[in-house]
Amino acid sequence: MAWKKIDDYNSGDTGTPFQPYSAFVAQGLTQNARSYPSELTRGASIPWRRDAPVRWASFGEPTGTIVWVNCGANAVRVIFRLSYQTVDNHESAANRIGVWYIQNVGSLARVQVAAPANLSNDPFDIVFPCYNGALSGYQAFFIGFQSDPLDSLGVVQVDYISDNVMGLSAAGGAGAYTITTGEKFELVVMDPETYLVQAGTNDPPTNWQIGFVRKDATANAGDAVIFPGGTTYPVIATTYPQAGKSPPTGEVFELGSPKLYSISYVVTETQDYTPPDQFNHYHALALSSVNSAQSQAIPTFRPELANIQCDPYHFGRVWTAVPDALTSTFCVQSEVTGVVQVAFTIFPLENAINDLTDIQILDYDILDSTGTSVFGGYISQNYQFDTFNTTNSFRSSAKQTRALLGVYTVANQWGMRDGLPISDSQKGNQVVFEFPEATFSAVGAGGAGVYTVKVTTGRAAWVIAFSARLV
Amino acid sequence: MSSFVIPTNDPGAPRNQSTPEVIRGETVDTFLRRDRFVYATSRRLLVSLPNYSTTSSGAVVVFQGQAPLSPIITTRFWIVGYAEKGTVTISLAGYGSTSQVYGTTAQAKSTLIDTAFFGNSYQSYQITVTKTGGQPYVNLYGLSIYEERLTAADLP
Repeated sequence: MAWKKIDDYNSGDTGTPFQPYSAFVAQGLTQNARSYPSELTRGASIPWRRDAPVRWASFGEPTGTIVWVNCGANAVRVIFRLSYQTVDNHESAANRIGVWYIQNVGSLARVQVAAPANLSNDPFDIVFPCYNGALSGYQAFFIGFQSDPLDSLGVVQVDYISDNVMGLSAAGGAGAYTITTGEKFELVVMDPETYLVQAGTNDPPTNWQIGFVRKDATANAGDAVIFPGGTTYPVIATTYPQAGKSPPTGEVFELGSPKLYSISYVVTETQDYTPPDQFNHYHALALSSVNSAQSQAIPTFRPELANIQCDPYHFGRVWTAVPDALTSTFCVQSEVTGVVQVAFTIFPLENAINDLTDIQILDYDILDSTGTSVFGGYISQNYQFDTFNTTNSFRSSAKQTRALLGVYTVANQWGMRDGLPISDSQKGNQVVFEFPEATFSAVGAGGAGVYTVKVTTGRAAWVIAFSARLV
Repeated sequence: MSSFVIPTNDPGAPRNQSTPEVIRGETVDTFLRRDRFVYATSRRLLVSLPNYSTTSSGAVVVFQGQAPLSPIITTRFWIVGYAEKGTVTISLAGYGSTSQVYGTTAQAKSTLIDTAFFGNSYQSYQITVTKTGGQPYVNLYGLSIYEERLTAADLP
């Protein structure tokens, strides 16, 4: 441990006999200040719902979410620990179910690691080296997953593809895919040579991910909700047989699909940061440097107040109008006067903004331990955001609910849930809000000094990476 | 110079550092106490949970994860929450569990849990929510777990 009591030193330790006491103190303080980043590394954990766990499957591109990491001062490495569990014995020959991706949103530096099958929910660590330079302060990381196709589940007849629906009929015979209702983590692979597409269209994709199947109540058939959607690709001709072609078939494969319980991160190997002025005990500003290093360290290494929001079926959180609210508790362990800052990424889901009167109002408040506003009432802010549309799916419609990538209602279940394609990960609006300065009491027994941040919205939005800090 | 204690609050930055090579005794004392204060209070937030609501009558395990602890000694954690109409149970693997019982209107609760833990590892935790009998639902507005600030005895 580098940090020491200053009086542990003596002049012999410094190697400078007859060192002036002022220099002795200044040097010890500076050494301590320089050790702060390595001694006080940052880390936290972000859990998701255990009773409705996230289960990811994504074939087309890495899909996931964004988390914010406090890298402190000059982090050179961040270790992410994923707690996930594979749900069956299926895996590829290499004992993997897909690939984990971690990308620093700012620098776009990315690491990808094969995801092994993990039936026992063993912790799985991924090291992100800050190769493009040390990272400091809050950093956004995309954490995503891309599936391997695993075991074949059989062959199915594909009757049509329209919008985000693929019509399925049982192929019959040995090796037929069994059509059942429910959420799916599967892939339909079709050979374009075996079916017709509408005139004037290009070759369609051969791979369609299935997110949900509704089986017909009377026939051995059903509708599969597919991803990506058909509106961005040619649709299959719906009259068969044509020109000697048979009704097309597709082979259904299981996709690697881990249940994700939590993500933890720890910032390691931080470099000693250099105090604003070079330490030199003969230098006139030596103690000023210590002074400034201490002042800078206090907010930098103060514990975060919050780091995430989540909801069942949504990796992130669908945030609706009052009485719904984003809430998070925090405490401080020493009375402090400062300002609380909150930050989150918001994807508006309702009412495209098309005129100056169509605004999104967010109300911010902090409640004390009695539930009373610290500021005498909430503080309103107005925003103008564009409604979020995903790249590889559909615009808002009756079929595409505001849950965007999630399952929102039984009637409208569709597509990959609980994640955001990496291509869409930077489409959100980063909101940062700073409360007025206030004094927060130290936490004590019986609920004293417990504070609750509360933010409400006027219209629905998807929120990820909620964080808060005190500066 | 004062005895070795960690100040309860930030002593504040010395303001008389413009004059070089002249160091007043009280300034040095402030530096030292501030040095301890920074180190002792720079702890980790292990986890902050979002709001959760259920009408289920049984205990529901709603969150589970592993939190990385600071590399320096930690023996106790502060658990602070704001909830209504139910009980929140926090289980730390290897150290048992503690519960916070909330009334019919939203309340703030704070609890210290001892772990006798030595740092630089991961701590598994599990959060269970149970609706109070007769209540229509339980609402958890937030729950956070922090490492407790260090004491003079913790420092080397």
